[in-house]
Amino acid sequence: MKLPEKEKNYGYPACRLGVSFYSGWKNLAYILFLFLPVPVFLFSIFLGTYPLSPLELIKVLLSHFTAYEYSYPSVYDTVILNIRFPRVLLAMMVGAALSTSGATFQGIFRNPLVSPYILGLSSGAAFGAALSISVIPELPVQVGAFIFSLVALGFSYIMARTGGQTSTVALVLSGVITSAVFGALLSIIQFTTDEKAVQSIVYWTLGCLHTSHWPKFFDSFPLVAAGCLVIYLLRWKLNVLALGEEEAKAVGMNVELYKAIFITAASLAASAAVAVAGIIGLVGLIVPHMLRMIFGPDHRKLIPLSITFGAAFLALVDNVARSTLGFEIPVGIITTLLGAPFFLYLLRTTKMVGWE
Amino acid sequence: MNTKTKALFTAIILLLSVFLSGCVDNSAGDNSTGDNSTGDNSAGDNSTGDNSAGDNSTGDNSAGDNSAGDNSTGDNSTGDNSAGDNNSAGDNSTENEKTDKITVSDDIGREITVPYPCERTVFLVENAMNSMYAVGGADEISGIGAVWYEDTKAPFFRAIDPKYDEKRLSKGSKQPNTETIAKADPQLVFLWASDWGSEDIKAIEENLKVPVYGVYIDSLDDLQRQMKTLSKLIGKEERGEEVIEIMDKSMEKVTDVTGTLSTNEKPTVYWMWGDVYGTAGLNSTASDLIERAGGVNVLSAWTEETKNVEHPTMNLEALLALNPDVIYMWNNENLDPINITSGDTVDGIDFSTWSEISAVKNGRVYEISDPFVYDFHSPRLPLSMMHVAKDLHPDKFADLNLTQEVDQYYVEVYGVHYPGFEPI
Amino acid sequence: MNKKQIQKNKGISVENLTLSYEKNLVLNNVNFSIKKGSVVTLVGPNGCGKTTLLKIINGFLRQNEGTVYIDSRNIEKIANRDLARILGHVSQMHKSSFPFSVLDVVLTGRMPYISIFSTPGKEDVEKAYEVLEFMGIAHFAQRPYTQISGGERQMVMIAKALAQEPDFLLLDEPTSFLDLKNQIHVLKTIISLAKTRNITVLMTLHEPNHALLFSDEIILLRKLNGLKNDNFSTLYENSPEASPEKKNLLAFPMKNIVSLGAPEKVMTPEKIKEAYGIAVEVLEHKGKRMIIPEI
Repeated sequence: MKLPEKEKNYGYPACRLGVSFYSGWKNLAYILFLFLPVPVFLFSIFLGTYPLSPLELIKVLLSHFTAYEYSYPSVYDTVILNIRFPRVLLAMMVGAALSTSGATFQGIFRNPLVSPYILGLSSGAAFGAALSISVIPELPVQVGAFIFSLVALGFSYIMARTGGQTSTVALVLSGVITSAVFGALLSIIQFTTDEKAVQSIVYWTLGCLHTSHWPKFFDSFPLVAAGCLVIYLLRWKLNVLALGEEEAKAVGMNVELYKAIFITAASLAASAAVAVAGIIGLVGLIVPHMLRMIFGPDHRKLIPLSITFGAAFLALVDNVARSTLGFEIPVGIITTLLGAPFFLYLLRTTKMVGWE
Repeated sequence: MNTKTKALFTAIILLLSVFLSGCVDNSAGDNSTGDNSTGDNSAGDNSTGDNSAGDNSTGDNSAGDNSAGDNSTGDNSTGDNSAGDNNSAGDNSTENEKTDKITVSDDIGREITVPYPCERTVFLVENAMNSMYAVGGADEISGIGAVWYEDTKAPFFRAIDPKYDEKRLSKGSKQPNTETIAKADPQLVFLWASDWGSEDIKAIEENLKVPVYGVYIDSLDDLQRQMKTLSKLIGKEERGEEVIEIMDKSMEKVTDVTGTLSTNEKPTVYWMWGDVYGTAGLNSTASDLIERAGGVNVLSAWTEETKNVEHPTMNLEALLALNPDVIYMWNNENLDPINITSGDTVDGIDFSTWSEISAVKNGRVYEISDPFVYDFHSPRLPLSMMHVAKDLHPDKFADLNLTQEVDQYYVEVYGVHYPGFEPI
Repeated sequence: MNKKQIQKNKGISVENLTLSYEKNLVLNNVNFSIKKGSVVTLVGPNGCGKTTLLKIINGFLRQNEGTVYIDSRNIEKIANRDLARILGHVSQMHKSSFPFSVLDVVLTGRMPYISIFSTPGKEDVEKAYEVLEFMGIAHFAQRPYTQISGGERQMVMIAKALAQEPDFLLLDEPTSFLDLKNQIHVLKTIISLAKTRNITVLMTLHEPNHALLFSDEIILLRKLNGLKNDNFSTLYENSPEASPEKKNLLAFPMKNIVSLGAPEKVMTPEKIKEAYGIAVEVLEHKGKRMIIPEI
């Protein structure tokens, strides 16, 4: 098969050198998206319900980080350094964790409509949180949620594993079963607990960042960072996995091992995020999807972008939740309201392939 | 496919729940806007001379109890309100007396008709049961459903009702099923209900063919209206009036003092529910309580519409901006005022970041010490008001001995001493 | 069995391969060997175990009994990664959920050469382009894999396998779902692989005429129809030490392989009847043979 010389030259050398206009534009956007969390962070710390003018805020920050001297009430420090900083950073961390783990699960399951909650993580976490809210008050909510999200994941994984193999269909089905089981357990707790506790549980399950503070950030950061780092380092392997298990085996990949590593890393990150922020819906679905629409499915770019854009995205959405109405709206409600139409759109336009 | 549909369903359910919660909040707000205006009853009687200042609320005061002989009739707001509410009920009852039936409207405004006097009632909601006991309806209670933290409450109920244990239809916080309720052969079932279409109400009315009294309280006046209706149902209006008078008198001990306070004497109060950032909106019983006990709900300084929601959720930044003078906690097992003032970390909340709030700075963080005795959704509401008032104005209420007040109130209303529940 | 002799051989040797699936005997004592550099085609009716055989050789499935040697090494003892460096596999029909670019797909073939925490480097990209050029599809390296035609996709999958730089290539029905032009194009490409890169090709084909045209050797298989034997599998599973003697007693006279060897020797009307159960005529035209079924 011989091709005309002209046609042959068209795509390949140009793309290889990355000089075509299209790829040049993409590279620029790629860099911009990678650095997006920085401007978003700076923007977000100006927002809040406490009356503090931008000028004052800048002065306070300058006096902290430069030689500039400015006297101000110490409450400003609390507002800026102990409320807004940890809140914005926590939102970013949670956004990054959910997006990255969403992208990872989508890659493993070869399905763009999968979320980090597919294996029952969210229902496990909700159950754990409810348990500590109303049954075992000695157990901190975050710890309860974290432990039970992992219990749910482990349960799904073990149920799906037969003869050393874990097929994706079995995983999805066992995830559905696990979700149902923990959903039922949660209902038992809600049914037998008092009104106020039910309210707290519901509030928790909607996902909220209003109790953010530094210790929360520092507690969950190592797990989220470790999970994201592992996924980042192995990101290209997701390309191999995403083509299908047989294809991956054919090129010598230890599919079960990598799947276990990816599921563990993604679950750790997402569980740690859910434990501190509650169940924030659809972020793990929307963010990877938006990025895939712009930058294509290559996980070498998708994973770092999920980390940075996921962080920026949730910080922005949380800005709405914390500063528009003066009261806290669970950020999960906003992400769901934003995400549901988007999800329906995907449902109608995406071809379902890859479900073995 | 499974995940697809499941995710779709989840999305739909979440959306629905958002809308539903919005609806519930609205209706709660609508219900209560009318009552809110009555919150401030200036009785204009400055009886108690303010004595020695600077005593904490712990209550080792000298016995300054001048309680019974205080019959200022200036409690018009509550009295008028409840009388007006009950007019229709009263008319109906006189009409129906011949046929031994009575028609009253329940807390959510549904008309219910039951045999008169009503002799067998089942309570699936505990705070209304407290009202029934208070108006002398112990014998008319034939079945009792869920009781939260029963271990702590059972001794009291046993003391005021020897047949309490026989009447229990379930254990602890579980609700009995319809068949068990049927065994108690009720003429009327009491159920917590925030709206007319409640499935629970329908289930009992249609399956047992027994009318249901929908219980709903979101202001202090609601409680007395409810108690009046209950006493009417069992034909013990007199005792009902008596108890309401006792309540009013006890509350006057507080409101007579707080009614004279000028606005700048009243501290701003942040009410803290168990979820810490959850507070009492302006249209809520707790907010009424704060106002009458001589405080100002700190939310009244807020500009956002959401302040009228029954249970709004704040964040720390808003709290700092509002800067309340007092933080008043509902009883919280995990959290004590000292945790807040000393900046501990409890349940994932680092209270050291609260140190800029003036309530924390000045050590003015208080807690309802006993969620049962001071349950302000029960006839013990006046005790709860004293508890709060004493903390808000320690100097003005230095003479008020809470221990004695509680004992006396228990004696007058329930005929037992507190603590110990010795009969008189 | 002369094990030593087989082990010295280069190429693929399959020895006493037996596999039953849910108590259905699929492969029964299959033996054959493939010379290095030849193009061998597995032909047979549906369910005769062609694909199963490929999957065993590739390590996807584990046989109950028997051994596969590649260049005299038992494949069970070769690590996945090492096996992927000498053996490429192109599966029957591949779909992707994600619109990966053709280049990204081909790059996954570099997996066995890329260490755990790294991503494909410049060298790998160049290798991938080289393979794409060899396959004549470099011009759509950046096209999304989901938007190219079935024939092009098959070429991409072959390119992916070639990026593994294998000595052996297994292809499962490389021409299914393709139109005639693409079928011939893909098969010609496969032949040229064997010739120019000295790659040993083992593939399965549905169309016996294509097998005749493009193979150096053909292995004609039959289906072990309805052969169930519970005793056999229980005996095998429960007491492996007892199997060598008793197995022979229980072994079935029927074997999968009808015939193997040069195409013209294998594809005779009698043997095709034995394998497929239909009557055919074999014609000769300009030195090429052709099978025509009797209607």
